[in-house]
Amino acid sequence: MRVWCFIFLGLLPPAAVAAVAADEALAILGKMAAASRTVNYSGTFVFQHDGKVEMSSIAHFVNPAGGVFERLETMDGPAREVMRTNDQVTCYLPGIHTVLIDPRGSRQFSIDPEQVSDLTQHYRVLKGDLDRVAGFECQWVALLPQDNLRYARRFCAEVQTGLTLRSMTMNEKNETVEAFAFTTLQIGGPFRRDMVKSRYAAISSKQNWRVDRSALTANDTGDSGWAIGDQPAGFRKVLELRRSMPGKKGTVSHLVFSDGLAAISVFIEPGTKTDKKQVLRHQGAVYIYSRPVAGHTVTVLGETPAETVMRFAKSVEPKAAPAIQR
Amino acid sequence: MDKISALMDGELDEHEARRAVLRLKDVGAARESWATYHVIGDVLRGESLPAFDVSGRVAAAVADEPAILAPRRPARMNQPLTYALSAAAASVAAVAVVGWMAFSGNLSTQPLEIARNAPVVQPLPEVSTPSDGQMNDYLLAHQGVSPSNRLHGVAPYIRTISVAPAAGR
Repeated sequence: MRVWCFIFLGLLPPAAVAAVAADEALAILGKMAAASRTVNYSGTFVFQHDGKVEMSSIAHFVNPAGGVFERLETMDGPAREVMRTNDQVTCYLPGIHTVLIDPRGSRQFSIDPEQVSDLTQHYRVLKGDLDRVAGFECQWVALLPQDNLRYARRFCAEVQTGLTLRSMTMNEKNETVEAFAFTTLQIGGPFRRDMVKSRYAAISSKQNWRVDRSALTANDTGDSGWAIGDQPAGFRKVLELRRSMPGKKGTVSHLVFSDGLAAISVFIEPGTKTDKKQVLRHQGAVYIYSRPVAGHTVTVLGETPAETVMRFAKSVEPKAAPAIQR
Repeated sequence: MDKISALMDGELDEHEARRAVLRLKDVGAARESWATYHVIGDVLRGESLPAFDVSGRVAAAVADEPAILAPRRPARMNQPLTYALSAAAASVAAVAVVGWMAFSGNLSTQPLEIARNAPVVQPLPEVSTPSDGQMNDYLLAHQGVSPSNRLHGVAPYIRTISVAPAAGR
């Protein structure tokens, strides 16, 4: 009898939090994703990870004449800068005179409807309270995982634009593994080139800083020759390609799996380092795990619990037959 | 499970509280509900979480202590009315959410798992060490393909530049 009372209560409209239907989840997350590209904004934010809090300034402007520009500069510790110009992401590390370039950073992926339907299978999407962050009203949305292969995520999206003002990533022990929050923010305004101009672009080329650039391989057939034998539930392969990586001879296979929110990257490169056994590392919410497989080095990373990353790494195997010629 | 919610809200008398705590001690599922209610309560309030592990702490506490916990006096007696109302609303909504979960699927595999203390369930076979910057190229390549990064613009790239490898690697 008690059980039925329970279920009956469950049918009543919840007071302050609502499980969100798939289409509403799509709308919210889609708006947040779009806002991060289309809204002009500048401000400062804190990013908390690995027991430290870093403050950075950020500016994002869309040039009506063409081009999306974003600039991030750390305000604490050694100076570092991240620039995004359309799809290229460039990181400047002045302390070691190094530039890291990903020519296709943040282009390939949007939050598409298919992925969001996946999302609602693996997370409970809950709409929470209204809140206020950096002077703007925002709406909390929580994504709570249905298993311990993924993290819980909470976002507070600015009510008008959908810009993410605050977010938290929590592990299975409910510890915050990463947190992000704007502390000051201006939304809107005209394009300002001066706000998104790199401080280091000129000097880095003048001083010949080391440039680490990855690139996608031309004429890629999309078959890496590798597969995941025991793929953890809820992750789908969304990308398979070969890319060149700085300091690596030959091409590196890159497979990407996603549950619609979190992604797992699997890198496979020829050769093993003799001194390298299996190694688990982390950087914020991202776990990184390397192990040798069949004369290759497999490196798996993703913003998931360590177990998920390790399960992928441990089930990487060469495909039984070589790829069929097309 | 409804008793657990009431215990959390400080609504049980001493006798009932003791029984609920004994249940916490004996029944894994009840202990998980305790943690889950806290998670849901936090979602409801949209609060920032202090890092806490209720299930582990409760398990450790009840394992060591005789069950003589005096119930916290009901919050509504000495707190402002709004607090009591929000606590009541929270417990109703928590029950509603859990009820809905129960209604929509197999409860045993549903989000009660969220708050489970992972090292007990599945100890990590290896110890993780902080990244020393050697993996930044992989991190950079990964960041561009992760859907969740789309929600933050370029901010997650902080991870890539947070730790610089030693010069001349």
